Order: sequence, then C-alpha cells, then structure tokens
Amino acid sequence: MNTEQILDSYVHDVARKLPRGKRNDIAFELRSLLSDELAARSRSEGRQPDRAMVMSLLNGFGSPTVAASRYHPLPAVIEPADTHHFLLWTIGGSIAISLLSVLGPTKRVEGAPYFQWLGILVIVFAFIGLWRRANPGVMRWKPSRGLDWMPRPLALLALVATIVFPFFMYLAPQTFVRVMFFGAIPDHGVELTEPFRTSPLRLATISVLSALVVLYAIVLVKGRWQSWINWSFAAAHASLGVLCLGHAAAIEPRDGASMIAMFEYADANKVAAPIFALTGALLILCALYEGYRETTRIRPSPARVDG
Amino acid sequence: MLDTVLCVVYYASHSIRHRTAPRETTTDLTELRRGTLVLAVLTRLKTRQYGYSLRQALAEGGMPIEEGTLYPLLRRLEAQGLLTSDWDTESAPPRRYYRLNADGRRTLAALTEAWRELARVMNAFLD
Repeated sequence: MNTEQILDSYVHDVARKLPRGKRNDIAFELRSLLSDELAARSRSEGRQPDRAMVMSLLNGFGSPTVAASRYHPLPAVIEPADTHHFLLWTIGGSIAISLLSVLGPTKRVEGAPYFQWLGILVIVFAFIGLWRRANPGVMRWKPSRGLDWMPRPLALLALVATIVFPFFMYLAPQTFVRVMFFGAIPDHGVELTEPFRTSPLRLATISVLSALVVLYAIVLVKGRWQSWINWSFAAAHASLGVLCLGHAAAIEPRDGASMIAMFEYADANKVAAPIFALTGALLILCALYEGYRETTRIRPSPARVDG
Repeated sequence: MLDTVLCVVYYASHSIRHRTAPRETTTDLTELRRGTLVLAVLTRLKTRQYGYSLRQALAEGGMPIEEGTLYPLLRRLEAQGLLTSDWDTESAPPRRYYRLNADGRRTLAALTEAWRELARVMNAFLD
C-alpha cells in the first residue's frame, strides 16, 4: 500500500464509525487535513512521505475508534457514576441466582441465568443513563433523613403486619385462613401434622418470629432505627432464612414422603416447599444486605495518619 | 458467577491501576491547557482559517495542539453555533474554512473577560 492508500484506509475506518449523516463530510475534511499534515511533516523532515511517516502521523491521530469518538462522542452504556451500583447489583444478583439454582428443582447451577442477569442489568442501567441525560436535573440530589429515620406510624404498620403475617399465619395457619378469608376458603388444606406441630423446627421459627415482633415493638417505642437493632434484624432474618430453607428441605416429598410433613394434606407440602426455599433465599439476601449496610455505615472521623 | 468474576477483576484492576499510577506533571499541564483551548481557538478564528492553518497559527503563537484534538473541536464549536464554515473545493487539496459568527464573537468576548478576571485572581494567588 502506498501512503495515499493508507490515508484512505484510515479515513474510511474512521468514517465507518460515524453517523451516516456526518460521515461523508467529515471523511472529506479529514482526508484533506491528513494530506496537509503529511505534506508538512514531509517538508520538515526533508524527505518524501513513506509508510513509516504516514503510520507515525496516524498513530498520533489515534486509532479510528478513538478519532471517531472525538468527532462524535457516544455516551457510555453504563455511566461511570453508576459503575459501583452496577457491580453491587451484579454480585447480589449472582448470589441470588446461585442460591435459587441450588434450591430449585434442578439443584444445579447453570451459566445462562448469569448472562441473562448481566444483560438485564446492562439494559436497565443504559436506560437509567439515557433517561438521566434526557432529563437533566430530575435525579438531582435531595436531602434524606438518614438510615435511622423511622416514623412511628410506619413502625406501627410494620409491627402489625409482622404480627398478622407471618407470625399469626405461621402459628395458626387454619385460623389465619378462616379469619383472613372469612371462612370462604376451606382451611383443612393447611392443617398441621402433629409431628410438625411439636417439632424443634417450628418452635425455633416461632421464637425467631417472636423476636422480630419484639424488635419492631422496640423500633416503635424508640421511633428510629439504631445500629444494634439493625444488626439484630440482620441476625433474625438470617436465622429465619436458614429455618425456611430447613422447612423446604424437611417437607419436600422425596420418593412420595417428606422427612417431616408439615401439612396433613400431602399436596400442600409440595406447594409449600419451593415457597419456603424462595423465602429462605430472599431472607438470607436481605440479611446480607442489612449486614453490608451496617458495615459500610458512614461514621465521619479523621483518618489515622501513619508515621 | 462468571459475570461477577469479570466485574470484580475489572473493578479491582481499575482501582489498582489508579492507585499505583504515578502522577505526572505533564498530565497536570495537559489539564491546565485543556481549559484554555476553546478560548485560544476562538481568538484565532476572527480571521478565516482551515484546520491545518489554524493549528500552525496556534503553534506559532506558543500553543501547539494535537491534530486529533483540534479538528474535532472545530466541528463541535460549529455544532454549538459559534462558527460558520464553507468549503473551498477550488484549491488542492479542498479545504474547509472556519470563522467566528456573531454568537462566536459574543462568546469570545465573554470568555475573554472571564479569562482576564481568572488571570488576575491567579496572579494574586501566585504573587
């Protein structure tokens, strides 16, 4: 290739990366400018342009991708400001997928869901960036009340909700169904078996649920969260998550029979097992997030200067 | 977990690179000059110039600018409505000439005033 052909090749590769409406005009100007630059370089070096000279010129201009991006900068698919959140969502989602894969019907971890999750995240973050650029100022910073803020009405609502669901539901499922559906739905499907009623698994679960009720009551009295309360919640959620997984493993029918049947009605065990597995996985994730939030809590203090 | 591994590796290498890269004075100088680039270009475009002649004019005035930076900048300034351009296809090679339009002249006046004020403040800091 002679020097002219190299220049043409470079201009072509730059133009290919530009929008159709701009590429011909920019290519024409770029070709002219490169000719000027090459002629100037040839004059200053006192020799005819050769391959080395033209390559040196083009290297200084940057790769065609870099040169094209200067003419037509494209926004990042994931904005730099979102990189940290993107990473956290990727890791969190991957852990959730792993847990669900292990606990799901196949009991096997496969690659496809991870790539699907990554693809979904890329699309979501790209849309967030697009929306933010189209609506500058909409997502501007607003002051927040901080991690410890918890208004009493909300705390009361959380307490009542926890007492009704899951505490009451778990403690007396038949009564729960009767009361909540006004007797419209038959309750014998959720009748507990005697071995399960007196099992340590159920007693432990009732204890943890009671602890959650007590914790919400404390939040209601104090009117705010505190670090030790958050840690207690994380521990309670983690314990409840493990217990839920324990339920799933115990009641799932294997070879037609459960280790401990939870319900007298056999099909109810079949339905409940994956729900317990999913709930357990979500609770463990929730506990991990609470722990992460507490360990990364900002406590302004001067950095220690060594030496 | 492959995506997580890839992300973690990228993130770690990125942060390590940034933590270990020595800070070079040339980087600071480039940053300093970048802020003055638009003003310098606008001052030279009171008269009609094409890309290479403008680069020469800036270099002769003591502000050499990389060609890969200058030429796209001209397009950007034109897209912002500060410059007008026209092709001279009679010459060989054909050349695209740029010059300030009315908005460009107003912007140049505003930037000149801001620059003088900034220079006054910085001189006071440096003295």
